[in-house]
Amino acid sequence: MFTCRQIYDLITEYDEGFLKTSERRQFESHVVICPPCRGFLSQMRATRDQLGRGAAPEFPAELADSIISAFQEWKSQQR
Amino acid sequence: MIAYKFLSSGAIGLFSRHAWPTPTADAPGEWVRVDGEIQQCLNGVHACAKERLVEWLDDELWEIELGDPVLEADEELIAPAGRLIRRLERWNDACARAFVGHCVDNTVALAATLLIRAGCEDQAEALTASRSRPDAELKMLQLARSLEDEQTSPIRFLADVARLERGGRPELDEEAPTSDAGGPTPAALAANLGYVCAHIGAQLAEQESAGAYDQSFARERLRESTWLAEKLQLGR
Amino acid sequence: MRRRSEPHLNRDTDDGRRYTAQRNGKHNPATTSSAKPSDDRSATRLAERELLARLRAGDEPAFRQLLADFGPAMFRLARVYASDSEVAAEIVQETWVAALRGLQGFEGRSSLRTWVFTILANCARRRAKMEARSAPLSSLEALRGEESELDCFFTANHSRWASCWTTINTRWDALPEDALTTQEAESAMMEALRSLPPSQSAVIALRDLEGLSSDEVCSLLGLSVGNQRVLLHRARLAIRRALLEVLDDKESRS
Repeated sequence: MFTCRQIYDLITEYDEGFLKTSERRQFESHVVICPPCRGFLSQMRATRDQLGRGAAPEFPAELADSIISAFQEWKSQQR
Repeated sequence: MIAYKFLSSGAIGLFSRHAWPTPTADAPGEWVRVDGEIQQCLNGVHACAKERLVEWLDDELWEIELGDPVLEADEELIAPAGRLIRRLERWNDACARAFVGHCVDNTVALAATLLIRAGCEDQAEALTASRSRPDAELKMLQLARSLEDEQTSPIRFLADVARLERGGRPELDEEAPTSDAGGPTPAALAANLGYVCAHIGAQLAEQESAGAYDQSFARERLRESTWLAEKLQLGR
Repeated sequence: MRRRSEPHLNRDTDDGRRYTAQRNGKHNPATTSSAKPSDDRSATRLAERELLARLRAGDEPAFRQLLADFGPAMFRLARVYASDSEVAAEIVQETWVAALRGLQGFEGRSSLRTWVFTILANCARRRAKMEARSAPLSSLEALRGEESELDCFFTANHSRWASCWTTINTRWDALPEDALTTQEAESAMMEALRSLPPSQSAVIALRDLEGLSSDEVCSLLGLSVGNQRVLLHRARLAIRRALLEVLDDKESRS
């Protein structure tokens, strides 16, 4: 049975699918019976969800314009 | 095959975070199927038999029908498909608390027996008496201090359990929180204390007879599951 | 786009089936919730070849489409590397200029996205060196954060709770919906991202902000699988710590 410290150390390996089946079993068995680890697991997932959900910064219109100009210049140089 | 599945509040898998389709008044929940090879913990619908209930405790208990072929691993069943049949309402907060109470009672009784065998009849009596007191933790701590090896004694452990039962964390200075904010759900606490009590019991067994831990632990977990299955009146 | 099953279009694996296994086999489906859905590789490859041809021919609408597809993600990434929007914009601009210059020579061994993002990463790193970013300092901060976290565990020789959490760790999936989406949480998150050692911020930005796969990020940043995982692990823990502080503050105030 893993300790909480091991859960803390292994959580990314767990999420990435790099634990062997027996290790995965031990990981999950521990989390089921350990409220702080349940909390920790949910916190890590919420963190990842939040990162994925983060508001994308506004793409500046001027930037788009200047990139298009660069393209047009490159294109004209191709000929 | 009919089996049992625990889910977190809202019929959500604890690890998969999958939101399970729930049954209606007329029909079971829709079939949930997985593609590819069935692999324990990696791929497949997971469920448990009633002998293993206590190892998977969570907020909601459901009866689940599993599609063939069912892979029977030690602690769980894995299948390529499953559907929820009905929610077993008898598993609720009150039942979870009753389960905890039962486990702690059992462990206190075991510890008291050991004390008697060690010639500490007075302490055994004090321990049993402390169990139902509101200041159980305090009494148990006092008791532990009066014994040799106070830190490692099962009484000390039981004092921790008493604190956990109240929603606290062991050995922390502040008062155990009285609100639910952030604390475990009754089901999560039941999962925790069922385990801890079986662990304490197994340590007691080990004290009596070296090497007895594993068998005692397994036996106690089975006993817990059996007790719970009966309390929930699970048929098969 | 009609599906084609031509494995030879799949440059990275000789067997399309094996690619599928890598994508699906290892992962618990729900834990990759933040990753984008896996493309049908053959269809994507075909689409990319057509796109490349059109770009090389100077097709402006094709380029505008590409900019619309990649631009926001590139800008978001550059913002993580750079100290402000202006610098981020410059990085993105430089990246596109370099990409256009290299377009004819691009052999398609990696995907277009990988290639463009590699250029971005290189531009950002070059700039970071130029601005003499105090990388050692952020490493120190990161280390301090990691070490302080170890106080949250009982020691390994505790008689009853060896290596257990001392804290309760509330469940964040039970929080009110907007608890993590406040301005405060958002700023704390961005600040934490910016304070990470560059190696960690690059990995977490590409994996968790942009949803690139583990394989893509390894090839993009030239990391081994294990190395990438360690960086990701430490970065995620740091962001969690930052959010924890925001939530703790809230609780103690309310």
